[in-house]
Amino acid sequence: MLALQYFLKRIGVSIIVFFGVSIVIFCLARLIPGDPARIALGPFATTEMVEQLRETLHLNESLFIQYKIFIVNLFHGDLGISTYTKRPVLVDIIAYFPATFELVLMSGTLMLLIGMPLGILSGAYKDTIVDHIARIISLLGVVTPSFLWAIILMLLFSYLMPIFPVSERLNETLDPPKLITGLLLIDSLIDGSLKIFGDALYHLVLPGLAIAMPAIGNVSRLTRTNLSDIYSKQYIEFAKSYAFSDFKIATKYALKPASIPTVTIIGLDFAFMLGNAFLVETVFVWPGMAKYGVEVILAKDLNGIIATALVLTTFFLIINMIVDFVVLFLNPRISLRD
Amino acid sequence: MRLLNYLKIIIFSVIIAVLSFTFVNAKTVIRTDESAIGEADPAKFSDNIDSIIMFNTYDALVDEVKDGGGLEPLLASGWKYLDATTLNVSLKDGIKFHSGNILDADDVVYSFNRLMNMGQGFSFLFGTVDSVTALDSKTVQIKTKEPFAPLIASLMRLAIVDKDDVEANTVDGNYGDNGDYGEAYLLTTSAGTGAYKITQHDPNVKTVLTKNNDYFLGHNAKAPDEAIIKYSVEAATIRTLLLRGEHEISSMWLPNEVLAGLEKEDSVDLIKINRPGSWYNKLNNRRAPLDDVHCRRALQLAYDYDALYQSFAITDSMVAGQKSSGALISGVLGYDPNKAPIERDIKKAKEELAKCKYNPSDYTLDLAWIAEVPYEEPWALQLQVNAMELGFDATVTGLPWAKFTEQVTSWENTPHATVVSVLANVPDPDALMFAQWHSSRGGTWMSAEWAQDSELDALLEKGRTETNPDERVKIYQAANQVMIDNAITLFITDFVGYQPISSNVSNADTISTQQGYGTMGRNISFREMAVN
Repeated sequence: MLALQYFLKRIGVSIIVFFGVSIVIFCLARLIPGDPARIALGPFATTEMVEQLRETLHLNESLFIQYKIFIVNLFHGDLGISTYTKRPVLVDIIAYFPATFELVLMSGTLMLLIGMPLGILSGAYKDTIVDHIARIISLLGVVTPSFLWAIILMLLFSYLMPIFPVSERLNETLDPPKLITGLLLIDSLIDGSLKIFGDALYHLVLPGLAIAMPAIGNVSRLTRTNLSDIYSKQYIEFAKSYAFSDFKIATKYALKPASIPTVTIIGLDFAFMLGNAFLVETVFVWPGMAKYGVEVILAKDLNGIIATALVLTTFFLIINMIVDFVVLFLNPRISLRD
Repeated sequence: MRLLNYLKIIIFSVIIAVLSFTFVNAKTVIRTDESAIGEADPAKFSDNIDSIIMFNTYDALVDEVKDGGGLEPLLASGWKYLDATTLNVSLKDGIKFHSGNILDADDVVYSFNRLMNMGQGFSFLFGTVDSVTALDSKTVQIKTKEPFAPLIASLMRLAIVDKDDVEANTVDGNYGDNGDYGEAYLLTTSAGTGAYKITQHDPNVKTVLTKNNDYFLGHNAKAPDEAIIKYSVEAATIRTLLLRGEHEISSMWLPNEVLAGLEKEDSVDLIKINRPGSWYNKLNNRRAPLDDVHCRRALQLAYDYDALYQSFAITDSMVAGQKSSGALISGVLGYDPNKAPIERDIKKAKEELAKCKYNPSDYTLDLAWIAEVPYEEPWALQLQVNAMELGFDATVTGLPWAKFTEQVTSWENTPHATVVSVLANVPDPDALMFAQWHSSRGGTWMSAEWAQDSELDALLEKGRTETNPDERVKIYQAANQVMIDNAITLFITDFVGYQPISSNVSNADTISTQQGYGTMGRNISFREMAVN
């Protein structure tokens, strides 16, 4: 019951945050210089056409009325027309979001599969050569931005050693599976095509790793620090005195308490990766929403800007809620009443 | 022995299977890239990528003849002026749209009305057209409000759409009885007669064009079955794709350092293309001190054209620019390749400055470049250095395009000088010069000069109404000289593009197509190219 109350309270807070963000983005988008109607129709469009589009977009109304229209339409599932792609924004989001979401899921998986073990190794073998190597990798991950990783990885594994593909989600010669979720890995499995599944996975490796690298560094460093603290506790010494294996001590006694702060960071990193995907998507010609988000800002596509920001906000809010519940699960000492 | 026979049969079967697979998958493809966003609707075509889509999926009544041969009928079989304002155009028989419908005069009328009623794209080229009517199924009559010599050239930009197909796919919209004019339908579909059909189109990601096997002019025997245009791809990615043989033709927007790197590669050739456009540093002719012709001339003579030219160098022997001899550029009627380029002469510049009514030290010139095009900045900085040599103070600002187009709507807010590039939409000097420098046209990004030169106005108006081509050449050459003498604008260089192409398509057909056409986008004609 307490959990349900907590859950409902978090949803209530999230809705307030959602509308707060929508107001801020709605106003900020209108501060970008240039007339959205003129930009949309191009330099040669007639003044009459520009004025007609301004009317259609309600740009001649007051800001309050514009926001009211936006909210009413939002509740009807209508995010308006993108003046950039000339399509309904919802169509754009449905077209681009799954590609980015799948990429971020891949990055999140790589973050966990590489970051956590690297941190455990580093913490378990503190101040040894293993620790030093792991720390160098983590440090490089943290200090190098994702877009630079994208270019470095492409240079190494697509150009000098042409192992991985350079662009897009699938090989051009393959027909994509029937779109159900928009996630190629899942759709290809539903379609029963292992070839497409393999190819989609193959295309995900480099961009996924490029986005994951800073998060891998973060997770690894935090896991190491927390594990180091845990390893200095008496109960670990006690376990050692019982001659438990290093593996057992690390995974059974040290990792769970050490992972509580890490889970919080993983959640935040996961959400940040969605926002940081832009340049990586551009480098790998990834047809995703992060790239779309920046293009709509440059084109002052008001509906596109707000929709992109709200999708990112929703993603952040959901991840934060999930993280809170996972932390509750990992640490029973944190009570819901607290 | 029997075993041997079995083995032979198996080997033969495998060979047949492999060959069949090879033939089945022998689809040839050309992959290229451009800046987003790609428009598929012919009433919205306006820039380079739109032009590439237009010339491959739609046809117009008129086309450019390769290698500077002027204009020729395309969907038209011929044309005849009844008087100075009435043009009759007859159509070819039996030309099929992608839908299988046959082209007739109603399609031409519908295409024109659709373009003008939607008021976007190249509709500005037809402002003087009064009416377009179908005299019969094969004849169209075009009436203009006044004699308008560039009309034939402008018709290159009237893409003819399939009226029946578009009307069958029209829904409710902003255009009264015409609903949405098929706007939603033509977002992702082509309804033209062109050599390729749009089979996939995402304006922010890529467009896939598939060969139209019924095309009335046919295709090069080795033309690609499919052409893929990708949008806004990073330069580093293009380079990698080219070297892996996974990209055939790059856009012309790669940075010089990437071009210099590609020039060393065996699998990539850099094709030199004279393009119908120029870089300008547009002087605001109405703001002091540049409302005084002598101050403008001083800047014109002080600008270091050698340094500007060198800034376009890719290698010692490859320079992506050509010193300008004024407003008339290669591919446009009236261009004179033997005319001497404008040169710096600091002594004369100081003499002109002495005649200027303003004291340069009283003015700070605001010089701008477009923030989205960072390689423009050095050309603005160069003007700053040269203006300071003359005693002006000057600031340099990177203006976002959106802000620039807003500022330029009033001459008071238009910067003293702004670096801008302009490409000719059609191979007629009117489209280039009238839109930029006639005094009635101030207030657009193209006309940031706010020119108000009565002598130039008179020549540009005369050029519009004169139908004799030889006379028009004389008129526009005279107008060009006025432009230079009165320093209406500063010419940085004429465009020369170096377009990297993969060895997969490096051959005489592809290269001659790329080099043979002047109109923006016309040179990426996939049907005339060949895949090796």
